[in-house]
Amino acid sequence: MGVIQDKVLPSTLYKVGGLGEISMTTVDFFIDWARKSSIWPLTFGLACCAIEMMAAYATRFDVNRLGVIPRPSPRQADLMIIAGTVTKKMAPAIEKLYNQMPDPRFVISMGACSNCGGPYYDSYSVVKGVDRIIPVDVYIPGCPPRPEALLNAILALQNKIDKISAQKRALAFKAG
Amino acid sequence: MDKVALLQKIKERFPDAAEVVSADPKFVRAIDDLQVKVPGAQVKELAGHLKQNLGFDFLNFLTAVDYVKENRFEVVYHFLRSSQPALQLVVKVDLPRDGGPTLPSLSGLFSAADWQERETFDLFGIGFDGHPNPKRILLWEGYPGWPLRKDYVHTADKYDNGSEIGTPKLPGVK
Repeated sequence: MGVIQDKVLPSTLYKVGGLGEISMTTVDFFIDWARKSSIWPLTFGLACCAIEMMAAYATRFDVNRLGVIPRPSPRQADLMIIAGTVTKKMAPAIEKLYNQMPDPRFVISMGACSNCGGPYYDSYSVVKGVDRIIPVDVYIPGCPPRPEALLNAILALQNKIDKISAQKRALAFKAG
Repeated sequence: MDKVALLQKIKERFPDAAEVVSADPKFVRAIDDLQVKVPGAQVKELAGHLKQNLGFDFLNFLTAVDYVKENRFEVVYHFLRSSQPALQLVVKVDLPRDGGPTLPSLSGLFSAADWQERETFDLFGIGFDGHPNPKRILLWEGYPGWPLRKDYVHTADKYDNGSEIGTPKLPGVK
């Protein structure tokens, strides 16, 4: 519960005499907090960026401590890390996997190839950016990006998820 | 058995075989293997001879080169004799570029030829007669054209940004 007790977050902490602590917050905040603290990515790598992604999963960088646990099935996944070159042959499969993921789902585009085609921009067989087929939340530059960059992208995604409920409320308010 | 003896043995059976020598005497090959050029119709027979009688038990490598200005493909085979004395032999075959070029398939002799012939078909459009599964291997079914041909022009599809993609046409090529 360490995250909830952060001073900047909208929660209040009550000490109950001798028994422990009670934290009061809103449902919206709680759901956002739960979502951002258990981002489960799909186990999925396309090219050399996947090696850096594996390094991020492994002991030294250990994204498990952020609640990022790779899942083998798109049905259980919240996040798709596009780590590597997206070929045109692979594009329909990526679309299919993305469509199989339950909402809310997020996409991190990792590396130059999946951002825009990268060094294969002039190729006959490479998609010029994965955002041509699925929406992307966070882009990571680099060829390949270091594991720290992927960590940073996950933190950026967490910040984004924090604002989901507030944005939804604002939209609902606008719509009346 | 050295290069000279090997060439001698090949020429005994295949009089049409000729050693490939570089036109430029300053050109030095990094690997000094024997290179032999044979007519396309004889390549399967030669491969069988190499395997049965000369001990070349391994097909290292198979690809093609597009000499578009000379209007020909060159299919390149690298055979390896792994027992002593170890030898490598390069066999080259000229093919005309026009009208669906085909060669006999080596996949019955060397199973390594199976996928590499499919790759050569995939990227150059060179057919291999007698191949058990003559389909594209890397690109998908229905791909338009043969992308490693020098006169290939890519037409932008829904995954491309626009018409800026594509290999520019070489000057003097139809």
